[in-house]
Amino acid sequence: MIYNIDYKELYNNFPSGYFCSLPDGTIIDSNNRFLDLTNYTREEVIGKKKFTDFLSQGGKIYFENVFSPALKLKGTIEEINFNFIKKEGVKFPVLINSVEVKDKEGIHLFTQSAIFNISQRKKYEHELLIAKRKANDLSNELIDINKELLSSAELILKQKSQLEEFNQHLENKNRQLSSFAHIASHNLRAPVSNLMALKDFYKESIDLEDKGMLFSKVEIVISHLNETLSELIESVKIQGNKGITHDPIIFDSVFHKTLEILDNQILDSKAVVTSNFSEFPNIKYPKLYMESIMLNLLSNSIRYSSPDRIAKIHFSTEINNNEVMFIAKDNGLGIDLQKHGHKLFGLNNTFHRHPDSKGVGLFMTKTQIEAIGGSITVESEVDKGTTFKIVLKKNIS
Amino acid sequence: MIRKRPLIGIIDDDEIYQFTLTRIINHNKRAERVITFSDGEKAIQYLADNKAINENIPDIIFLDLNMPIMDGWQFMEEYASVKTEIKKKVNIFMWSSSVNPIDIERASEISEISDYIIKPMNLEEVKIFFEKLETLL
Amino acid sequence: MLQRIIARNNITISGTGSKSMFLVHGFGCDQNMWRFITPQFKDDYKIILIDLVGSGKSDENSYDYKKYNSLEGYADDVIEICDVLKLEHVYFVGHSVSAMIGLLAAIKRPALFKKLIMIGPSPRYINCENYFGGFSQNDIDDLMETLDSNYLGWSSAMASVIMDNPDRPELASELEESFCQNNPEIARHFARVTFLGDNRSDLKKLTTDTLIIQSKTDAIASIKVGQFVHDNISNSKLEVLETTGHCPHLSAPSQTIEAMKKHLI
Repeated sequence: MIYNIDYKELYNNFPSGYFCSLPDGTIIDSNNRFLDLTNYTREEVIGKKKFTDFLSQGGKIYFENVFSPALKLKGTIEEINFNFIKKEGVKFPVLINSVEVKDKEGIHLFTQSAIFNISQRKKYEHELLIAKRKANDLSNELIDINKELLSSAELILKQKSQLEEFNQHLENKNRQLSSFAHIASHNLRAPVSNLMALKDFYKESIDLEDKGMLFSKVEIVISHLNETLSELIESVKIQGNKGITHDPIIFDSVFHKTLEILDNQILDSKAVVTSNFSEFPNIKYPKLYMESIMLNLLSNSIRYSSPDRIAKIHFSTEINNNEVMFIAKDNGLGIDLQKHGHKLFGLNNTFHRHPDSKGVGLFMTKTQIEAIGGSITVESEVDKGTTFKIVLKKNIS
Repeated sequence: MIRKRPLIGIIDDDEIYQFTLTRIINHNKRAERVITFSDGEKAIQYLADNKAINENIPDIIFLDLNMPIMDGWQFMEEYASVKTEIKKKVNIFMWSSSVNPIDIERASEISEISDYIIKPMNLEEVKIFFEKLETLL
Repeated sequence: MLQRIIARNNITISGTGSKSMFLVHGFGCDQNMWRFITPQFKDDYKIILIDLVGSGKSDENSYDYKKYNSLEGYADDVIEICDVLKLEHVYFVGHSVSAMIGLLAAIKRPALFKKLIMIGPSPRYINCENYFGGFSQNDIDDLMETLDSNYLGWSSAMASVIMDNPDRPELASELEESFCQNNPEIARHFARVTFLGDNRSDLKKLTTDTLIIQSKTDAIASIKVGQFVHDNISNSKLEVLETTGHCPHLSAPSQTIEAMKKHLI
């Protein structure tokens, strides 16, 4: 089938606007659709109007600075959005494609342009842009809120860990308090009751000699009570002194000082006292405590040495898994841990019928060690000897 | 018949307490004699030495729980073996300043222990004890 | 340092001459707009072409909104480039807003520049009392809208093949990627700085020998404006070309070259 196509007819009635312009912009031809869109008559446009006459001022700037150079350099341009102005001044948005038509020598003859009315599209685009902007804002808000939540969560975690720490601290304090309360009541009740009884006897007694004897018994109880109270107060001080300074200590120096203090006892007992601190020679620790610990342990070992053999006492330091350990080992009488183990570090406890054995030292020693965050354990065999193991500090890095 | 007053044994490491209790008992004429020991070991030794001599074996023993060398529980263990050779009835009263229910429970499980007393006993409490004792013995 | 600056401004150097010609594009495009002009000067000059930071293939990441909030920022870049390339007695050609950039650079360093050629300059675009710049604030807002609605249009427009250089296929791909592609935020900012600026008081400070090339019909920088510029630069000449449009170096290159050559003797 052959169709007779009237191209002119086709051109004029095409559903987009076409126009043709000279290099200087003057419109030399257009189709009917272009005239319909812009509301001009043919006479008003052809040879009279320029391309830029249909543009707003802002559009003109864009035309001169962007559209025109691009068209000049590439020979063609597509999909540029302008607002075209109708005769009555009303604007409508278009998409424009243009192409330069050149002769054989490459001289620019004229420019062909097609415009598509995109009024509906523009409305849609506008809605999309609004929605996009809203989504962006919302997204930014969410990001901010998220940041806030994250930092809140961090804060909460921090507070939680602080609370846990504090809780732990409180539990420790509580334990200390209840053990203190226990010790206090236990060790104070008997002497006080004794004093009450003695007081009653004293009041009733008419004999001077009897009174004198009673009073000397009162003196004994009072002195015992005083000692107990001093120890308790001292232990409270130690437990309360969390901020005590840690001095740089050289174990060898403290050791030698301790030997000097107990010089006589060592000579009398003929004990052989040795040491080896090479594995961990110095530490930061309260000086007073370290001296007291060494003094207590050494004097205990000497006091409870076996009469059947030469006393051998050895002090040393070790490091295991980031823990610094101080070890005091002797070959003395030993302690029956099954019988007396649970009383070992209590206040005023004795396990040997020894005139000097008051056992106060270990209670204070334990308090001091624990106040610094360490611990003390004991291994012992009757008539073989005793080893005290003290963890002085954990987490030595 | 005038009931004979008991021979009382006090096993307690608090010497002042030994003294004051003894004085109260004697003052109130509750006992024929009071013998005191500062630890369980000495007490067991005495019982072993006197197992044949009834008049030297106490009728009543006050036994402290917390003592050095040999405490109350350890004494009871030793006593279980000595007891078989003693022909006299001995009433043992365990006492302690501890109100630990575990200790009280443990005491009630030992048949030889007649009762558990909370230390210390004052004058009034001693009086009441001996009044009740008449009925027990 | 040199490498960084070359990358920052996409500097291209060509030509075999001993004299230096430094050409800078105006708002909206990049160094490609000089392609009809530069061949004519290759033999006599060393040709330096740049893309202003934020335009063309320049390094977008170097766009400092604070620095480029005034044309001084660009002027400083021009001076920096001359120093780093060790240029002397520079012949500076600036189109539109870059004419003002050249002005500011030459005021700062008069000894550096031999001659200034301004194509379609304007010291201020917005009308005010006793001055006709050609536009109102609304018009500039309108421009912003047009810029916004066309960002998406750029990539497709620039993807098509060049018609007029079939024997230079490498140019095709070059242009495809780079031509007039601007980050929309930067384009907006640059448009603001250009069209809301006012350099009228700087005109008098220029002592360098200046040629002003003016299109007879230019909707952006009218003859009135060109005249104003000429009147206020003491050492200047005004050449009016029988051309239409704001880019005579593109639409009427031979006339532009003729005017330039006349002045460059």
